Amino acid sequence: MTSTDTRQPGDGRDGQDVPGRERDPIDPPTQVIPVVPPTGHPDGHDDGETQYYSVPDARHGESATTAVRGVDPPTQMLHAEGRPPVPAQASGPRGPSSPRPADTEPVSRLWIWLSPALALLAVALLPVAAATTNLDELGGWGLAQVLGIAGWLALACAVGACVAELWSPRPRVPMLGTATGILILCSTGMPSVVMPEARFTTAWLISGFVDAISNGNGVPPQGVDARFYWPAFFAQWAFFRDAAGVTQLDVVLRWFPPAVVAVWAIGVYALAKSMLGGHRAPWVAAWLFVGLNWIEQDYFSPQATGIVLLLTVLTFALGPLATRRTDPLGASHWPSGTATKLPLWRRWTVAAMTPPNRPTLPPRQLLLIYFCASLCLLAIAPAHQLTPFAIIGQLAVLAVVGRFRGRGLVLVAILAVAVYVLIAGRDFWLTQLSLITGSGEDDGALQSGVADRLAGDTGQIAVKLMRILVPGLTWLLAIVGAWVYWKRRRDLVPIALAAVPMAFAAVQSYGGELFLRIVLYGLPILTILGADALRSFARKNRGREKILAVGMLLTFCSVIVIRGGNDAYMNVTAEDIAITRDVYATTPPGSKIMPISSVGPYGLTGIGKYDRGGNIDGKNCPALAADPIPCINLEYPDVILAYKSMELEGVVLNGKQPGWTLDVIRQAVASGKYTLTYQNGFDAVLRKNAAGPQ
Amino acid sequence: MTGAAWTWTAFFALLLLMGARAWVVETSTGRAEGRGTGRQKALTASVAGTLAVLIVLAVFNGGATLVSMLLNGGQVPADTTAVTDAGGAVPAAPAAPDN
Repeated sequence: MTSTDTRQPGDGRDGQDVPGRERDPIDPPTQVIPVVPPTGHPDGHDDGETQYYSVPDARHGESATTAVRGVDPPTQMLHAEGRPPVPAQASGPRGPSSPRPADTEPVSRLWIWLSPALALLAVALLPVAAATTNLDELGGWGLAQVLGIAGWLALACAVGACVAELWSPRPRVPMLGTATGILILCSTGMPSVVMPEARFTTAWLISGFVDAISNGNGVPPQGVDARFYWPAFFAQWAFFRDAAGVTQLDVVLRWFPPAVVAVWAIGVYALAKSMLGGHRAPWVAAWLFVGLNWIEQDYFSPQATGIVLLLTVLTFALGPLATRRTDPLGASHWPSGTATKLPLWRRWTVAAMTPPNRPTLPPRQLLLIYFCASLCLLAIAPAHQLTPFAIIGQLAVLAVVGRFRGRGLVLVAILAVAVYVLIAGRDFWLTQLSLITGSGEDDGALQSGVADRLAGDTGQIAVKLMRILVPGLTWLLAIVGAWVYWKRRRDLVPIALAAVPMAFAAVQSYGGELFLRIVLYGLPILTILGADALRSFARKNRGREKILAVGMLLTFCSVIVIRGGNDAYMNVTAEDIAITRDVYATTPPGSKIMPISSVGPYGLTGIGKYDRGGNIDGKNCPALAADPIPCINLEYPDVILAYKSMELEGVVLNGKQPGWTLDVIRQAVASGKYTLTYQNGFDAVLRKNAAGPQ
Repeated sequence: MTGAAWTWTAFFALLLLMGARAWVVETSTGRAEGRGTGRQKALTASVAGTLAVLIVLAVFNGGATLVSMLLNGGQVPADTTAVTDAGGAVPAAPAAPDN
C-alpha cells in the first residue's frame, strides 16, 4: 500500500511528535530523510524542494510517505519501481538544518544591494511618474499613451529588483516579498499612483451601494439592483465606514486594487509553494499571476474579496489538508505499475468510497483549518453570485480524486449557497431568474463577451485584441506546464481545477463579464502551471533565464497597456466627484438624476433615494447617450450629469464626433427644458426648468 | 417560526453536527479509517437525518417553486408570493466593468 502526499512538503516533522495521536497502523508515519541528490542540478541552483520517495516500511511491509529535503530536482512522486535507491546516509548527520557548503559562502555585495537599490529607485520614480503623466491627453490607448517615462522606468526597476533577488545565490524571502509588493504597486497600482482619484465607474457605484446600506441602518434598498441580493461586501464596508466615523471611502477605492492584488499574490504564492515546492518557483508563479491578471476584477468589489476567500480555501485544501487516497485496489501505480488493473468503473467507485488519508497535522490544527475554511465558504455565499460556484467546483474535483481531507467542506459550501439563494434570494429568483436561465432574447455570452467588445478606435481594438490574445497564451503556457507537471507527478488535477470555471459558460445570459470571471477564477492555477513550465524551460539552459527576464518585463509592460486601455473613459477626476456630490446634496430625494452615459462617478451616493431612470418599458434608452435628445425627452430627468469621461467614451469607443456631449448640452438648453447650472470643459450639470419648457 | 427560519435553524444545526462529527473523527486514535466509533456512527446518522430534514424544508420553502420555474422557463406558479415587494423595478444585472 502506498501512501503519498499525506503531509506538508518540508514541514520537517515525522508524525510521531503529534500530541494526542498514536501511530496509525494503516497510514504509517512520514519520515524525513535527507539525501544527497543522485545527480547534480544542471543549473547549479538548489531550490530546496521536497521530494517524496516511497520507502518500504519493514514493520508493515508497506510504503510510507517520505519527504526528502535538500535536493535540486523539482518535487517528484517516485514509486517503488525504478526509483533511485535511498542512500545509506539517509539518517546521517546532514539533516535539513545542516547548511550545505554553498550556504556558508559569502554572497557578493552586488547580490546583497542590487535588489534593494532597484526597489528603492522604483519607489522614488513613482512620484515623478505621477507628476509627468498628463491625464488630459488620455485617448484610445489609455494609460500607456500618457504614462511618463518615469512610470515605465519604475516598472522596469521593480522587475529588475525581483529578478535580481531571484538570481541571488541566497534569495531573501523578505526582500522577495518587498520587491513583489513594489512590482504590484508599479503595475496593478500604477493607475492608483498617477490618478488622484479611483478610476472605474463600477467601483464608485459599489461605493454608492455601501453608502445606501450605511444610510439605511444596514438594510439594503429594494428593487434597485440585483447585486443587493448579495449584500455582504457592501454591509461589511458600511460597517467599516461607520466604525471609522467617515462618510466616504474615496481613498479606499483608490488604493484597493494594489492592496487586494497583493493579498491575491500571497494566496498564489502559498498555493504554488504547496504545488511546486522550491524557493524560487512560487515567487515566479505570483509574478506571473500579477503580470497576466489584466481582468481588472480587483477594483472595490465583492468579487475581489470573494477571490481572497476562494484562494484561502484552495490554499487550505492543497496545503495543510492535502492528502491522497490510499488505493485499496492496488492500482496506485497506474499507469506505470505492474499490478493488474481492475475495470476503471470499479476503481473509481472504490476510490470514491475510500476516505483520504489523514494529514500528519495535530487534530486540533486540522479542526481549526476546517473551521476557518467553513467560515470562508459561509462568507462567500452572501457576498457574490459566481465565486461560490467556482470554489464548489474546484473543491468537488479535489474531493472526487481524494486530494484533500475534509470532504464535508464541499457539503458546507453547497448547502450554504443553496439555502442562501433559496431563502434570502427568494425575491431575486422569483423576479430575475432570466439572469440565470436567459430570456431567449439576449445575446449569448460569447457574442457579448468577445464580439460586441471589439469596437472603438485603433487603440481600443488593439487593446481588446490583446485581451483575447493574453488568456490564449496563458492557457497555452499552462497546458505546457500541465504536461511538465504530468511527467513529474502523473497528475492532471491542476489543469482540471483551472478548467472548472469554464462550466460558467452555461450561464449564457450573464453577459460579457462571464468570460472575465472564467479566466480570473482559473488564473491562479494556470499561472502556477505556467511557472512550472518556465522552470522546466530554464533548467534546460541557464541562459534562458535572461530570455525569461526580458519576457517578464514585456509582460508587465503589456499589463499596463491592457489594464489601462479603457482609462480614457474610466478616469475619474476630483471635479467629477465634487460636482456629483454637490448635485445630490442640492437635489431633493426622489428626483431623477441621470448621466448622459453610464461612465463616471454618477452613482457614488443616493442609491435608492434618487431615481436613476432607464426603466421606461419598450424604449431603448438604457442610457441617454443611446439617442440623446429623444431619450432626454422621454426620461425627462430632473438633473443631467456630464463628465469628460463620457465625451471620451463616445469618441474612442462609440465612434462619435469630438464635442458630441457639448452638442447634447446645447440642444437640451435650446429646447428650453433645461438650464446649464455648471460647466467647466466637458463637466456640466443641467437642471430641469421648474416651469417646464421656456 | 416561519418556514425560512426553520430552514436556517436546520442548516445551522447541521453545521454544528458536522463540526461535532469532525471533532470525533479527527481526535479518535488507533482506529482504522472508515470504521468509526459508536459516537462517530451516531453523529453520522444525525448528520444524515438533519440533512434529510433540511432538504425537505428547502423543498417546501422555495425549492419546489424554483425547480418548477426552471422547468417551465421562468414561469412563476400562480400561488407563489414574494417575501418582499421589489416594487416592480427591474434590478440591474451585474455590470461589465470594461465595457
